[in-house]
Amino acid sequence: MNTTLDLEDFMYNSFDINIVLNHLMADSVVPAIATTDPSAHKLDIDLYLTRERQKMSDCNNICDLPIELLELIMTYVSYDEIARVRSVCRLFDSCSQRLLNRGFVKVEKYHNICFKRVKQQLPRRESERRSHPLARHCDVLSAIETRLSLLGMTYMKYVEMTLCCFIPGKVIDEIYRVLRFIQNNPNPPRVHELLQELRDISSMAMEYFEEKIAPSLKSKLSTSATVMTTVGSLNSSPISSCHRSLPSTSSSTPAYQTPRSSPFGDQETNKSNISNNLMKQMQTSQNTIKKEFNEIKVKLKDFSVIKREITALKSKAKESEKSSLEKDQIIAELKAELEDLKRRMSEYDKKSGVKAIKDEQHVHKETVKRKSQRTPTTRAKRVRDNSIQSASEDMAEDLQMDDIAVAIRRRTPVRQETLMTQPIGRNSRSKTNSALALSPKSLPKRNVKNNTNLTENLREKRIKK
Amino acid sequence: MADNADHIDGDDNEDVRAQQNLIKIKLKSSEGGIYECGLTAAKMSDLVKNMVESLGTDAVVTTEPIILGNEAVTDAALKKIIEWVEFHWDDPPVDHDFEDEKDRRNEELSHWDKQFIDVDDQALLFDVIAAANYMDIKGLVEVGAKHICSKIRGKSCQEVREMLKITNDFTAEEEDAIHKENAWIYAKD
Repeated sequence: MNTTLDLEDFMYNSFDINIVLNHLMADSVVPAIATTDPSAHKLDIDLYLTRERQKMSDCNNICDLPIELLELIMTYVSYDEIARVRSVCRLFDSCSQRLLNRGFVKVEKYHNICFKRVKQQLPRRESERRSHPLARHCDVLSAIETRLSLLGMTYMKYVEMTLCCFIPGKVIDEIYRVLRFIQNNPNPPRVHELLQELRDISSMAMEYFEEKIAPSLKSKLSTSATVMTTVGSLNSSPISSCHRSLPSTSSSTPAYQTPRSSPFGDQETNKSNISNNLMKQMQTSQNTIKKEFNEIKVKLKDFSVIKREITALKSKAKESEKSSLEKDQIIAELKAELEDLKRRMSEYDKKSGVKAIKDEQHVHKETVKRKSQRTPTTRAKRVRDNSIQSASEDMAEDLQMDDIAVAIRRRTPVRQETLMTQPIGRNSRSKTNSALALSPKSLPKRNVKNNTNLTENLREKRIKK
Repeated sequence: MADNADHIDGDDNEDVRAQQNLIKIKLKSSEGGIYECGLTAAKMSDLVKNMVESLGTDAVVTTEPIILGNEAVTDAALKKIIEWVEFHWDDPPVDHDFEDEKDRRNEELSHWDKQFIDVDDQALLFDVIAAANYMDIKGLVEVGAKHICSKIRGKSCQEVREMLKITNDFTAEEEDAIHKENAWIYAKD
């Protein structure tokens, strides 16, 4: 009854009842309450109260202040200062770590707010953005964004694993400085001028972290991982059953806690037995872990080799696919070109075939005319000439028709030479005619000779008469 | 008079506040000391303000004093707190806007505040800060925090330890590890 009253007093004095109860449990006051008379536990609680009151009232030291208050006080110092005072004491270190981690998240949020504000004021067109008065603001903010992402990639992985905190408080201060400067200045200087210090210190911090601190953190991580595996194996091993067999005052207390007021007398012997068992179990579990670790190592090696091969094959397959695609493309292009060429050729054939024949015909006619103009015009000759001419014309016409037909069939341009030398198998005319037709220049020559002979004969006859 | 006080409770007028400050309420420390304080001044504490609002001004004025049960609220601390709130009762309300808050944070303490908080007894200083925090007097907590921070600023860890009487509970390895983490700051210079 007294205990409940006292607890009410606790509540009235704004103490956390859970914390008090936990303390009571830890100090083994509860078993005493359960076993002894009420006056005794009233005394115990009074003692506890006075002790706690002494603790609370003795604010002689800054470390006696509540942690929330200490954190609040430290927010009035720069982040650089917070990072520097980490090594004052453990409490300062834990507070500083929390504040630094929170500071990085806060500065990221503040940057996002600023960036959003600027982006809302900027025009949508990129060409117009360049000439906008807020263009420099935007450049600076985007540069800070890249810095923040780099910092996040370097530190936050380890921060999330609680291996370290966001160490460079100075960088947070500098980011805040730049962001506030942009907010207050309508015409900020160029990006590289404004962000020179930030770039310098952030890159210095990141390089230093990656060179000097990250390797040790990685090793710490690997050791903690091995510890975790051993703990896991221990939990699954019969040791846990050993723990369960330990005598405990209540079912709620953890098995690994050593009870201060144990009802059993042979506690010491039990302890030694348990420790021996634990040692044995530890050794065996260590051996099994080592074996498993080696096996996993070997498997990992095999796996890595297979992985490499697969990647090599994949790359080869990709290359071959690429080459085949290229080849297909080339073939398609060539086909298209060929078709185009064929079309052009056919057009050209049609045009050039008709033209050549016409030209040939024209030339032939002209030569015949010239020859006929030069020679004396007798009837016989004329008749002969006419007959020859008509024959040659017929031949030419025949040839023309044949050649056009052949050209159309072969789709090749009709050359003048072929016209001159091509035999005419289909024609049923005489060889002389064909010869005349083939060599139209030879015929007038003979005719001229014949004509000259005739004129000489006529002259001789006249002279004789 | 109490009814009057209830009636004008919500007004922000300075005259009204001055009138309200004439009404005295009693505050009891954890050590049992009872001290009088003006109503407006006492309302600078959010704890007292909420109590007054929930109980009603009549009850607060006529009945027993308000008990401040936290052990940090010693007689000396409560006296100092009452001194501070009686001086600052007519301060304009604090704007909690982000940028203004930052400016306010960077502001230096006034001469009166500096003299008020610069006490030789460190235990009293921390009691005042802790009690102000318990009573939720933001302005006074800020004054205390700024004072401590001005002491810390620019000092080495050893100097801070000596000044604030803190014992170094780090092992040599742990201290070296922290120094190593912060070495890049000093490497620049």
